Amino acid sequence: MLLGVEGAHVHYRARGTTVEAVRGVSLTVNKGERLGLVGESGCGKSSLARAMLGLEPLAAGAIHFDGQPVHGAKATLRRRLQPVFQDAGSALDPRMTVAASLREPLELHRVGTAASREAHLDELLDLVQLPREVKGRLPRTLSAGQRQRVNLARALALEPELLILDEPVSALDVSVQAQVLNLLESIARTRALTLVFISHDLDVVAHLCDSVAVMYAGLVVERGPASRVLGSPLHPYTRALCAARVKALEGTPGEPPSPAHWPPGCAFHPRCPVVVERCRKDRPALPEGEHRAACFVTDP
Amino acid sequence: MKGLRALWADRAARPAVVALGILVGAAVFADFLASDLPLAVRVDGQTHLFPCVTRPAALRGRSQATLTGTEWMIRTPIPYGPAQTIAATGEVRDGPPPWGPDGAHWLGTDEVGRDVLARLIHGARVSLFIAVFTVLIAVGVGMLIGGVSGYLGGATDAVLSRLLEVMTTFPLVFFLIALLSVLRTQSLWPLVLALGLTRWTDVARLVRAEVLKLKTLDFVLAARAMGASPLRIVTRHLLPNALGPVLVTATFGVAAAVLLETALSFLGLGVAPPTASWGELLTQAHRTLVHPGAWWLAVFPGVCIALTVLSVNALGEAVRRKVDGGV
Repeated sequence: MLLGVEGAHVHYRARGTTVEAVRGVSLTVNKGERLGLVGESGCGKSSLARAMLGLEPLAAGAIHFDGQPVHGAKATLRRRLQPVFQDAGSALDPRMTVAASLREPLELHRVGTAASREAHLDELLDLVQLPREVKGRLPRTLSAGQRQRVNLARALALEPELLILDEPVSALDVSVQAQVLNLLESIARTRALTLVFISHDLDVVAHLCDSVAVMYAGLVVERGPASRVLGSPLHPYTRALCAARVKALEGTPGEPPSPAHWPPGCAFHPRCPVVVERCRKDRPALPEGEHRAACFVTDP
Repeated sequence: MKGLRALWADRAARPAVVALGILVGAAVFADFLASDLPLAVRVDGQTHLFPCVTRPAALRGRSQATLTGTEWMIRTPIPYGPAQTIAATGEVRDGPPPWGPDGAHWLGTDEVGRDVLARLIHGARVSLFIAVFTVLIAVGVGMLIGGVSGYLGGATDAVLSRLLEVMTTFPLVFFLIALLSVLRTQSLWPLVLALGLTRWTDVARLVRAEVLKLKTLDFVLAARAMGASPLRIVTRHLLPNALGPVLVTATFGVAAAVLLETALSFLGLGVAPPTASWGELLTQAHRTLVHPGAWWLAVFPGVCIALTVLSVNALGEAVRRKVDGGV
């Protein structure tokens, strides 16, 4: 087990009210695993990702990386798990050139000498298939795809074991998406990286990931191998998501609930096609097992 | 300087850059432009270079009239010092000063016979020095307080924000009058400190807002994820990105500081006489309104102040265009 999340809660306070973005997620990620974290907007995926990086404080629970808590971790632990964010533009300091952005993690962790760092920069640019000429350029002069490659290069600069990618390609054009994904896959394979890949795009997840966790309303509602979760989903929500690969949540009325007012019981019950009385009162737990869903109705 | 070249490329800002260049040049080289002592002199078998700056005691009491055959002297373009009265020059004319502009005193003299142009040039040094250092102090304090307040948030932010509000609501001129009445000295620093330490609020509010906006951006999260310290994040990522708007405010702040110095001098709380500043010159003009027709006393300092404020504001607009268009 490389990353362990135990009962993690992430709360935000806004104007006196508390928003429970993540409310009790437990999951483990093994070394070399490529976990896809899927769900609609507002389901708590990004909050969970930031909590995994130790950037978002936990209201309850714990997150461990290689046995040590990520919150308040020293820089030596931090460098072993690195993020790639969705908005490639805002993830780079607008005033720093590509070279300066890539040099920052190396300087911070005193990797190599000033001279060897320049060679290191060239290697990183080669790795993400960017021409070396981009070194002197500012982020705003790059295309979105190039920026995301720079982000990837910066995340890889410290040779992390785990990459946490928060919708890394969803802001890119479809053709650029495919290029960046293929690049990511080949780098992950050659460097034996562990991935937590957050996406709402099930096709992308099916392509890249070997296991999947489905999130709804701040909870993991289904977890299992990618082929089984996406091929024969157990939870009514996952089924709806899989059907939606063709069309937007077909046959599922309503909208995802607001994090400020989660429905009681099973949060999916107002939209669920197979809802029973119990779903309105009790919250189903995620059972043990290889492929499991938090649902009273679905019996695997 | 890349920034200056960019401003020069902005055609609308060019007259302002030229005007400020001349004013700042006059301020920096005031001693070479207007002095009672010469640029160079050979007297008593000794050559003095730039006595107008070094002011050697050996030259005390010497004038052009006392030079003998092989001795010579190169005067400054305006051969008067800023504090040189009629008693020192020994000029004799029909009627007492103030004398209007003529060949000897290009912009006239004040009521004790001091050359107005010489006082304007030396006044530029004092006025611009006060304005620039006031703004530097205000920007330094403002960036520190705004940056800390915005990045740390919570209780620190609450305390600093209240302090900022108190400072903002304080009637500034009354506060400065009270402060300067106590701190009155010959030095310029009490005035500069008093102005700087009351004018940081705009910068602080601006930097705080910028930092609040910037700190949620992903590049700050990325820096935290790679293990950067809060100090590094503030100094390397947040403040540099907030610098553009700060530069705009700082430029406008120079204009405001020139006007504030003028106002305080007018109230008699500026620089101590006989030091010349533009505000002090205007005060002088006001006092000598008993001499009807001595328009040169008020007009020339007024033009200098107006020109500076207009140019600095035009420059501020140019910087704003650059900053807004840049990122």
